[in-house]
Order: sequence, then C-alpha cells, then structure tokens
Amino acid sequence: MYPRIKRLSYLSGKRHSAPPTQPMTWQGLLGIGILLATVIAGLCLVYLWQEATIRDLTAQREYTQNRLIAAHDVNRWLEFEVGKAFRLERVASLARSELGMIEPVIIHYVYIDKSAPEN
Amino acid sequence: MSILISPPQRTKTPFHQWRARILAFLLIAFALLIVGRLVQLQVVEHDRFLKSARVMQEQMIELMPQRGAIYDRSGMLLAFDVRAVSIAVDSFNMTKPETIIAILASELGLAGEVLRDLIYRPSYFTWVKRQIDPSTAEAIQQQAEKEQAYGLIFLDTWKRCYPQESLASNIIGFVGTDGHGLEGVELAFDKVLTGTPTYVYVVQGADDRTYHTTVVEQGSPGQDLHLTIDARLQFICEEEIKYGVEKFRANDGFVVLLDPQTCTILAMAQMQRYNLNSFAESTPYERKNVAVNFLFEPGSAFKAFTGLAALDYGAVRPGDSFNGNDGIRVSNHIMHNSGNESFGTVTFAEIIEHSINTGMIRVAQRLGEERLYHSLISFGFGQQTGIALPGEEVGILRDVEEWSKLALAATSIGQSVAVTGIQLARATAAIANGGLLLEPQIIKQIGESEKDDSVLVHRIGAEESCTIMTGLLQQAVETGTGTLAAVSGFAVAGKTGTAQKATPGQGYAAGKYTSLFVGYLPAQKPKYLALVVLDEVKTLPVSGGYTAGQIFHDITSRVVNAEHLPPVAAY
Repeated sequence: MYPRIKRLSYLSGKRHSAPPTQPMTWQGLLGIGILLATVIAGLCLVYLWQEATIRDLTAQREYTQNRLIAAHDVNRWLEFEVGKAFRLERVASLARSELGMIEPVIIHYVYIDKSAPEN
Repeated sequence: MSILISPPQRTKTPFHQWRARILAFLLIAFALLIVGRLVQLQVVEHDRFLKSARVMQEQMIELMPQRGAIYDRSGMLLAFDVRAVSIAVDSFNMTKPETIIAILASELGLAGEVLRDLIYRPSYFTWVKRQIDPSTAEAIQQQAEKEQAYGLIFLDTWKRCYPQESLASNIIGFVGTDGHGLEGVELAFDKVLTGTPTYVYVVQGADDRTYHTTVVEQGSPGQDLHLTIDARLQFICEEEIKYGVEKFRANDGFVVLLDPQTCTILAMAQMQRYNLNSFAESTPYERKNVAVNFLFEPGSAFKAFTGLAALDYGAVRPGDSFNGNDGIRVSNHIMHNSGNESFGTVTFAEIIEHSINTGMIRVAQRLGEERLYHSLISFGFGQQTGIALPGEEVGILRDVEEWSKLALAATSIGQSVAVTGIQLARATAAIANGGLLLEPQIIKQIGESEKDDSVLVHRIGAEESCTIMTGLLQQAVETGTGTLAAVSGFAVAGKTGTAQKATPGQGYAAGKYTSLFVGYLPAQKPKYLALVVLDEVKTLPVSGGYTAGQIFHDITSRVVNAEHLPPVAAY
C-alpha cells in the first residue's frame, strides 16, 4: 500500500493587487524610438553587409569562371600546337629522316600442304 | 500592455527639458529629411536612376557560337575552333602611338613600318591583327595599361584551326574571317557547322568586375562533322600522287580512293594542296577540288562501260570474235588502235585485255547508239553524282539525238565525252559491287546522327554482267595493258586509259594526254577502288598503264598494308 499523500494547492488563495499604472513620459517614448531605430539601422547594416559579401563572392565566382574559360582556351591552343607537331606529314618525315624508317613491304606467305606426300 | 502617455504638465518647463525637446525635434526633422530624400531617390526618381544604372552597369552581350569540329572517319581532328582575340586601333583617341607600336612589334612580331602605317591611319577603327591567341592579347593589354597607352580595341572572336595543315585541303576547305565556310565541306555544310549565338545579360560594377550574368537566349554550338575520309589513307594518296606527278612530270594529278561496296570516299587526294591555316596565301587553282570539277576524256577506261552495256544487252559474249586490226573507217574517218598496232581476230575478252579501239568500235556498232547512250546515262555520266562537295561538274555527254555519225565510235572508246573523277570512280564501283550505282558519301556523321553508309541510286546492269566484266578487267591487269598496276598477293581488276586532250575550238592537241588507271581489289570481293588521273604526262611512254598504273600499284600496296588486308592470291 502506498501512503496517501495530501494534495497541496499552489494557490495561496490571496489575490494579487495590480501595480499602479505609471504614465510613460515622452522621454521614455523617444528612448524606445531611438532604440528601435538603432535596431532597424543595425539590421539594415547587417543586410547591406551580407548583400555586399554575396555580391563580392558572386563577382569572385564570375572571375574564376572566366579564368577557367581562359584556361580552356589556352588548352585548345595547345591542342592545336600539339596537333600540328604530330601531323601525319611531319611524323612521316621525321620517321624517315631521323629514324631511317621505310614503308612496310608485303610479306608473302606460301601455303604448305602438310597432308601432301613429300618428295 | 498598455502605454499611457502622461498629460502635458502645466507646470513651468525647466530649461534642460526644452533642450531635450529641441534635440528631439531636430533629430526627428533630420530623420524625416533622410526618409524624404530616400523616397525621392527610390520612389519618385526610381525610373530615371534605374535607367542610368542600367546604361552604366548592364549590357547585353552576343556570344558567337563555336563552330562544329571536323573529324576523319576514325576521329582524328581535322578542323576546330579556338577562342581568339582580334586587335584594332582607334587612331583618333589613342595616346602614345609610338609606345603602342613598340608593344605590338615586340608581341606580334610585326615590322615597325607596317604598324606605323596602320596606327597613323586617320580612322576610328583599323584592324591591326586578327585572331591572335588570348595570352598574347592579354600581354599586349597589360603592357598598354601599364604604359597608359590607350586606343587599342580588343574583340573576342574564334579562330579556325587545321592541325593537319594541308592534309585534305581540297575536301575540308576553309572559313573566312566572317566565320562562314568558303570552300569544301566548310562551305557545303556551313549551316550545320555554324551554330546560333547566345545572348547574355551582364551586370558589371564600377571596378569592371562582373556581378551577375543571365542567359537571355540560349544559342547552340555548331554540330560536329565526321567525314568518311581516313586521314592515314588520305596521307598515303597525297604522298604518292605528289611523287607520281613529279616522277612523270605531269601538270597535275589526283586520286580517288573509295569503298566500292558502299561508295564511301576514303581519300580524295590531289597534287595541288595548300595550308588551310594560311589559306589567303593560296591560289584559286590550288583550292580547286579537281576530283569533282576537272573534266577529262576518260579514253580507254570507258571501254569497260561500253563493254558492260554490250554484255548486259546480250549484244556480245566474252568469246565472240571481232576484227582487231588497225584502222576502221567510220563516216569517212579512219580510227586507229594505240600505236597503230594490229591484233588480227580477237575475242571480246581480248579487246578489253589489250584495249583494242577498233574491236571496241565494232562492239559498239553491234550495240547501237540508243542502247549505248542510255547505258551511259544509267552509269551516271553526264550528271552530278550528288556528292556533298561544292562545285561538282556535270560532265559532257551529248544527247543521242545530237550525235554525229562519228559519235558512237568515239564515245565507245572514251572520246567526245568528258567525265569527272568522281563520276568515273562511282561508275567503276558499280561494276565492282555487282551493278549497284550508289551515291558517293563524304559525310559519315553529322552531330550525333550517323548517316547511312550507302544510298542506292539504281541498278546499272545484271550482277552476272558485272561479274564477267570484273573477270575481263582482272585479265587486263594480269596480262593486258595494266600489268604494272598489279599488287602482290591480291587479284586486281582495272582498266587503263590514255586520252588525247582537246583544246577548245582547235581539236585534239598533239602531245597532250590525260593518263589514268582505275582499278579495284580484291577483284572478286573488292574493298578498295582507286582512280589515278595524271594530266599531261611529259615522260615516255604516256600511257595510263605505265604512269597511273604504277601510282595505283604504289598506293594500293600501301593501303592494304596500312589496313592489314590479308593477301588472297599468290601472285
């Protein structure tokens, strides 16, 4: 058996009296206004700062992309130079003059019938 | 939460409170001023400032499309675009002209005098150098900026590059400075190769940096072209025809190498070539593709077609006998054999084998004008073949109703008609493949879509007739006029031709000949057909069998080696 616990009320039964209403002075209002303006100005500043950062990063990305395209262009030029260096006419000329290579000749094969009696 | 504002106090306001009120008023007035100004700039004058900003920061750029590349049948790059920069000068707004001249002279290697002439020309825009590589242009720009020398204009463009330089120059052609093809497949497939431009909206800052780009209209690059040409075989043919023309001291010469089963062109080489990267230095004569626009009398090579027509109509059989002696009178004109040689009574097979004019004329007489004419039309003579290359000639084959009394005899032995190399090669391919006249193909693939290998025009004759003719042509190479064209290990079928050249209005010119040989191998199942034509051979003998036949031998020997074609006959 569990012991019986007496339920306790958190309410004291006493009613709190409302604090007396203090009229807000115009100085207080001005202070709040300045505070609000400062917060808004700060947020604007953060927004503008972020915006500038994003734009800067975008510009950097564009610049990098342009550099990449330029690198591709250089590659294509190099490809052209390589193509010229390895063109068939030049390769054949070098093979003949530098390496002394000659055109391959036809190899003749003679069919020998093994089943035929040898003389 | 409720905010209650206290009512104004009626008591005397102290001085410090007045100061605070004035300060507050000033602050509020200042804030209102700023807000008012912002409203004026952002709302009232919004459109005006937006317009001004756009003019300064935004621009629409037209990006020229990259032209499609050209490849050979195995994917070897023959032509492609690279990005380049063209440099111009604004002579009215330039500063430090001598500095500009010095920079350009050192970077471009141009002579000072040439540059002075360009720089001091009274013009807002004078081209200095077109299509230079971007790194050189950047170096020039940096140096000019460093020296504070202004007036140079840099324009982005494309440069067409041909890494194989003069290889297949007659087929590929070239592109003009406006980016459009002017010769060869570059001209014939200009629309396919040229894409559509892309329009890009760009926002730039005052620091010249790009902050935003948007593609407004997406263009498309040009489509790639894959030719049926094999660069290695083209190289072999070019080398051999050059060697042959020099050896026989001919004026000119060309070779057509094709696959007779599909009529795809594997090589189309000629003596006259030019470096495609510097096409401006070439002559119009060098730029001609002689295989499609040079007309010549085929001479005895035509006997194969007269003979095929006679066989197909049943006018002759290989064993039929004819008088092969020299001299046959046709309409008060005596026509002779080559070297006035007499052969006595010969068979039809021997007429082809030894290329006997008088015998073939008698065969043609048996065939008749109408049937010969219609057969020649059927073989594709006197009309374009439809090859996708510009400037193809039609040839000369007069209407049968206009034929003179001599025409039948002359036409039967390849005189009084004119053909192009591609016509002759295609018609011979039809004999080789069993009678199918096909459209010659030079394009293997456009973009991603592969073209059909062969386009049948019509059948020119019975397969049996073609097989018989192949056997006769094989005999001509083994024991007849074309023995020098024989290739070890392969049965070759072919026909020689030596035609006296005609001068317009003056008849046949003495000592001027077109020498040719057309043949294919392996004879019974041909894989390669080559036509070799030499214009005005100056060595003796001038016969096609001796001159073009040797070149045919040299070319096909190398081709079968390069293609690893196993020998099939023990010669």
